[in-house]
Amino acid sequence: MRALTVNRAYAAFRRTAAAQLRHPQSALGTVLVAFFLILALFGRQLAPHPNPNDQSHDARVAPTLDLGALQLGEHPFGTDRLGRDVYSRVILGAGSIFRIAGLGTLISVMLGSALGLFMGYQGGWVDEVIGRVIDALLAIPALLLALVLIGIIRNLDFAAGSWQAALADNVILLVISVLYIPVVARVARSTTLDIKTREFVEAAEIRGESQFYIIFREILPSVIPSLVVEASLRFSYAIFLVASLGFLGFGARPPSPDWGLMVNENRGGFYQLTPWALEFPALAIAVLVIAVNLMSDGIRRAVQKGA
Amino acid sequence: MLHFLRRRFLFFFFTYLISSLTIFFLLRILPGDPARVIAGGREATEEQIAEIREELGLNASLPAQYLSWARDFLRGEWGDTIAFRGAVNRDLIIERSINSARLALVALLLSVPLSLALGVIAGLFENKLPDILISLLTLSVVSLPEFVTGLFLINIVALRWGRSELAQSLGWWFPSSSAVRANASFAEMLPSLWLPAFAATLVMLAYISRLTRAGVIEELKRDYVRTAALKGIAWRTVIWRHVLRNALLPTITVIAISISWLVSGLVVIEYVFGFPGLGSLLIAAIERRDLLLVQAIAMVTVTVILFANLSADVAYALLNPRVELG
Repeated sequence: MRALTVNRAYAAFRRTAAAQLRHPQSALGTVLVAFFLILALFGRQLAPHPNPNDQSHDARVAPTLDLGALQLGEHPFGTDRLGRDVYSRVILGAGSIFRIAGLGTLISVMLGSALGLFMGYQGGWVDEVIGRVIDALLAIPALLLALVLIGIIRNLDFAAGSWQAALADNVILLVISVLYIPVVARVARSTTLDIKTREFVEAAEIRGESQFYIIFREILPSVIPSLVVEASLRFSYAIFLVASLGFLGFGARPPSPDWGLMVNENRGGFYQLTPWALEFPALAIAVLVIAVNLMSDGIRRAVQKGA
Repeated sequence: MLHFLRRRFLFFFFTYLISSLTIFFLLRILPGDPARVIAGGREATEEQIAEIREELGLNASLPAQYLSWARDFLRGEWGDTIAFRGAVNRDLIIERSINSARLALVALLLSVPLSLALGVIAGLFENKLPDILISLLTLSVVSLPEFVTGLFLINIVALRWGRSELAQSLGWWFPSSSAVRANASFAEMLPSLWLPAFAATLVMLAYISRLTRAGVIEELKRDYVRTAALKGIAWRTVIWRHVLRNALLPTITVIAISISWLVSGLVVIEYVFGFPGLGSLLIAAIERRDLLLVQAIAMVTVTVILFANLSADVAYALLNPRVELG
């Protein structure tokens, strides 16, 4: 049974990889996402200044990057008005956006699919009530809900070290989970409705298996493909949201090397002085968002073809 | 039909109830004293807190509190603002809502015709060069966050190109900031509306044009199109009279969705351009910890969105008798 599952997962992985290669744009997206992932994981080793707030004596140095000669120079992306190396800050910024968006996606996919599987399998009034509440919640725009949640939680003061304080520190993670659990639950529910009429589920019911066993061992494996598609889509939205909240000043606090925050700190009058301090983090956001979109497009295509 | 309308209205009221409960209880269920939070957290004095508790009726039971809060909202009694001295929440919100509506109107006037045209062209030339070019253009724009496109427009279009000699001689000029007086008239405001509206257009473009493209392609494959073509009706007539009429029907829904997108998408765009709309008011209210104002703005926004969705569904059902929505 387990070997079969592993084999099936491997086959699905190969199919996905092959489909990615057939479409050069999704392959490009995947490669770029992998590149940013490496930056996120090994940023400290790769950045010339592992401390993002290292200040050199030369503030407002123009980028020394020379694409023609393939040379990085001392400050490839220049330094900002405080003399911080923009190149190092962009590299180090990959970590926070991947951690928040990735962890948020993971939490919402796990909890959301558990909820959706339960709703879909249970059916009846449980499903009806939760489903209607989810529909209603989805009518509220995500950004509005996020801003209101953050606005309120930031105003609460907690004893330092308490679990509430820890929650308030990770408010964006909480926001992403609250926003995306209903969305994921809806997808998992509709797929479950389709799967639960299949013979193997009926067989398990006749065998007298527990509800937990049927949901997680019989139904879940067939729901996973659509969950993977949804997860990649959620991840791209999460990156978008984290960058936007960072820009609006509701994400990481200064002096963190957060891309959205860096863009916000260097706009307006500062743009005239150090345009590169805004342009490189903005470019990083743009490239990452497009890459994740291309990758998730490829995953969706592969899964739909395989199904 | 009647059945559908009844169900749709029921859903509207249910959704409204859930959203208002969410907005109301966010302040109540979270740990901590709501009166203290509203009064401004740690800096608040005990008298201020007691006064706010009295004013909000926090000593009553939760359902009673919700009912009186909802009644006050429906009556238009949204309280006084803490962040903006001397103003009443309602006046502030109405003034800013009008500004946001102006911006949304200009954005819709720009984006709907443009994206419909692009979508129709792409659909008629499925998988040919025009389609590929349009897809590339719209896809590369849509994935960018609003603040990136907005800053690009400000820094490159308004500042760099706008100051070039060519642009100056053409008299082509966009202000790089839209920070106008909040009570300016529409005509006064118009010059500073173009650029933020264009930023919103860029974001909506891909979405509407992709849906239109899909609609056109689907209609072109129908039997009646083949029949009409075989009957010898001019292809041009087939397209204009039949295909587009059917393919563009879903656009009504799309416009409604755009309105609800605009309501939240404009938050970022207004902030980037410094435009005095509802979105930038929301950000200011959160920054200045004026939670009653935040609540009121959230309720107004949700109201607008739910009405937009409701009217779109009803209009769609009325215009398309085939829609069987049970």
